[in-house]
Amino acid sequence: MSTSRPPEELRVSGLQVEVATRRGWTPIVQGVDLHVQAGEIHGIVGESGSGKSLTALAIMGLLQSESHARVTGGTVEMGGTDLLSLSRRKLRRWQGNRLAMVFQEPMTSLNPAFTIGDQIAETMRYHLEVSRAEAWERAVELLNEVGIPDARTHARDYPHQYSGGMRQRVMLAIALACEPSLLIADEPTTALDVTVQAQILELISSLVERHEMGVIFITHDLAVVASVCDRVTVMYAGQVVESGRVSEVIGSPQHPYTAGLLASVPGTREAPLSWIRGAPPLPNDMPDGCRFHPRCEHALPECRAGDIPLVAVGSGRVSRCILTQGLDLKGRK
Amino acid sequence: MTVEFDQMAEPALPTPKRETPARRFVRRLLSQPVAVASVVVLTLIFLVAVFAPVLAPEDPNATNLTATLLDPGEEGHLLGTDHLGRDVLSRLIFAGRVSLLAATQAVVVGALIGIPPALVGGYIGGRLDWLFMRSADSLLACPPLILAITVIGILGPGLTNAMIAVGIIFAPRFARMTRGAVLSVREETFVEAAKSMGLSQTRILWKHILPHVLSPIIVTGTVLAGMAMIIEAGLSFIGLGVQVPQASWGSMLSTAYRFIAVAPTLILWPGIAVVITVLATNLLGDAIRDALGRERRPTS
Amino acid sequence: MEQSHSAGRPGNGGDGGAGRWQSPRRSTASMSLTRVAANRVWASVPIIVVVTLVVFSIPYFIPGDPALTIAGPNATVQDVERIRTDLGFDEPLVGQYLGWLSRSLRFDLGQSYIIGRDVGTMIAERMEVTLSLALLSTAFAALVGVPLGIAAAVRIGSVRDRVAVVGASLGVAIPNYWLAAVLVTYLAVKLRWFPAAGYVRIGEDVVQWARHLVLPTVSLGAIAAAEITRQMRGRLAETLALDYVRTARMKGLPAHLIIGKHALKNAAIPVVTALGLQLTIVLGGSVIVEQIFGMAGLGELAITAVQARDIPVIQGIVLLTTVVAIGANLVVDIITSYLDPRVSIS
Repeated sequence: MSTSRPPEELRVSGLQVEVATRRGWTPIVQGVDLHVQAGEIHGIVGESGSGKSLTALAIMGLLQSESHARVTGGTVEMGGTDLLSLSRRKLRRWQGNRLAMVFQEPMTSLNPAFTIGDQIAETMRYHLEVSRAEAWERAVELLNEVGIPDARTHARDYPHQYSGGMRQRVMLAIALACEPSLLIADEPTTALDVTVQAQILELISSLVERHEMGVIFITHDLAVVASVCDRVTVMYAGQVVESGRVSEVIGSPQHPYTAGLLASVPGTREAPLSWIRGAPPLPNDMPDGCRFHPRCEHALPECRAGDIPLVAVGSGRVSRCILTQGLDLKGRK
Repeated sequence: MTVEFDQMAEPALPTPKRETPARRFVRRLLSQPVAVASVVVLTLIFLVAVFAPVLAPEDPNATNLTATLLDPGEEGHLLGTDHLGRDVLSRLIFAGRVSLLAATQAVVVGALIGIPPALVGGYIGGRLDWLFMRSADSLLACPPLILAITVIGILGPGLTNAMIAVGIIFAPRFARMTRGAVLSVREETFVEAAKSMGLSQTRILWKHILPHVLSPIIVTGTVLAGMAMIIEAGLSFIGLGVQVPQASWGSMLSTAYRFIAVAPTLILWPGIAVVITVLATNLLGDAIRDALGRERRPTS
Repeated sequence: MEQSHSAGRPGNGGDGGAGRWQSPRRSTASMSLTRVAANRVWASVPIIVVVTLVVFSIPYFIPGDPALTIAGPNATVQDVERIRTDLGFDEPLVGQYLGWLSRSLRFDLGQSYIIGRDVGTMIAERMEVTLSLALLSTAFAALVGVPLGIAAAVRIGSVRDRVAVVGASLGVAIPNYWLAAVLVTYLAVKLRWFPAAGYVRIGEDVVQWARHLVLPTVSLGAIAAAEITRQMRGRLAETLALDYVRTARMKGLPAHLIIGKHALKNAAIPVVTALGLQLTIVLGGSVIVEQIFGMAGLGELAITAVQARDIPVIQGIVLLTTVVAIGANLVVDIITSYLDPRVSIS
């Protein structure tokens, strides 16, 4: 049962998201650009508060029903349509269908009242012209594909009988049900055991190969990015600070923040553990100029003056640092 | 920007000033405008009740058979007069005293009967706990007003007896709350720590468990106080509560109802008084519950 | 809503198969509905026993000779003695209790010596009134409270939500007998839209039965509805904020499916329980409301019995209303078990 859709790319331009705080609406995500092609796993990495999750929710269109966050600018283009310009009703035809998302907490993301087979089939029954039986068949196939053994029997199970890793597989099955062109995975392995993490990462890689879809993979863990992503976008304080191919970004970072993140990934015993001094700025309290400069050991007075733009530093690479060319930042293998 | 591990880095954010739980509770409580309003209203009602003799324009029991059933505003009676010519406003104020006192009585009785067994039973568990809980369940199974009038049937009519009856209705509710709180706290590590230090059971109960149990009790007590007013007024309405010559808002409602054909506004005042007081206690109870609640998980 | 399973499925997620991939923690075992129902019934037995014990011992709570109390102020010495032997007050307590219990189970609730009639008959005559009122009021509470609560929760924080919250908070603060009095005054006496008093049996004239019950039902039901609104709003709002509702939104499902299928099933459980509670409360509340509307129900009987200290009548009413309440809440429990995802229907 294939939907035979031509592979679609995702192009996000100038995305702006605001959040409701006690002091009114505050911009969190500012001017984020993203380009994800079919078959590409694109990582978005950053600390808590960097805006990566909000970006994902905005792309997915899940901020429309929220009262505490709203998209205030930019476009999210897929297959020639700007998703942000669609009415709620039209957008729903895309959600779960041409783009889908899996979330961070598998233990609570499934409805305890329905069987896992039913929750997978539901998406198909709503979006596609299929009968109950066909949808169920496909659900069983999907469960098989995501690694649930004895899928036909277990399709009648309820979520509470499953562990976190298994539930995340079910979530992936739900996301894949209508053969989306884009899968957004928001920290899908953060809540799982390390061994299960590796399994899920491998599963996602193989799914991408088989289904020719694009994946946005959100994480705070650079090691995960290194192992599974093709390209990566680094976010800090609501902005993109670096973006490019994973091997290049990790091998030779072009932004001090990226280098700092790399240095704080635990390595061998000989290498001293380090971290970035200070904390990310609060949304209401952004520093002038480069948002990272208060924590940057290379900072110069120029870094404080005016907005720092993203500049190209190679083919398909950008960085938001005016000192890039002059710095010798250490990367990792 | 990258710091070696053995260098002590200073925290970038200033540490917040130390805030005691009591202060935090008061701050959260007062940050809700509804809570502030209810506290103000209840304080006013309380003060009016306390200073009744000073505030009431006339003697609540002074009859004047030439001025019966006057409309509000007539002859200087702000709310009119009843069938014996007594000033309604003054009666309302004094009756408020009775109603408030009665409600407090009922809550205290309920707490006294309900909390100790639940504390002990919840902590010790086993058969004792089971027995207490079955008893509480059976009390709860009975429709409240029926239970109340049964107790009054045994003890005889009268305000104190009626409030004992209401207290009996409340006891299992206090017991449930207490037991729930005890159970949730019993397994906390700090209790284990206390036990391992060799503290006696009673001391553990008193010093460590009771404070945590206090919060749900306060919330329950506040809300039940409102319920007590309604039940007391109801019992007095049918003549089983307050007895002549005392008057509570409930008995005023009863009198007013008798004369509803000729003085339809009489019934409004005691009713409104009850509604305002109960509303204020309910809202305050909700606000206290919110102010005492756990910190919400920070969204990453 | 996939609820049916192939018959014979064990329904137990915890059976350890070799090499099972399930998490090491034993998950909540799914139980069958019949077993859960049986459990609930079994669990209410001790409660009913305690209730019967307490009701039985009511005469003993009153100081003095129980036989004398029951006989009433107008009894002769021979009457008292007859009562003593008839009701077994000269026997040991256990025997008395068992005798009383077996009689009660046969619906022989004794005699009211003060009124001079059989208690069971008097109660049977008046049951219909009280029961109609209680059931209708609870139904009113459900039919009004649930939609209001849903409407408020779906647009939480909006104007209509705030109005609903304020209205519901106000509603639970209103004494039902006061509302009854106000309704009678303005809608029955002044406007004559509804009859002010009386009760017509449903067998005689359904329309009149309904007309006579409108105001009493609204009086009792409105306050219950306010409470149900609060419960529904609170639970649904909580549920709508849950992660699996976000998953449903992600799937692109329309609002009616998200609310009706995904959220409501879980939010409904506490609300159904609350309805059971309201029924219990309303069974008692009808005591006063019946007075106001001049309805010859259990309430009127109870009040006169209390004033006259007519013990057998009091015992009968308490026993009956409590058993009805327990029964109703049992039904509610079983319904919520049906809704509970961890219980499978097999």
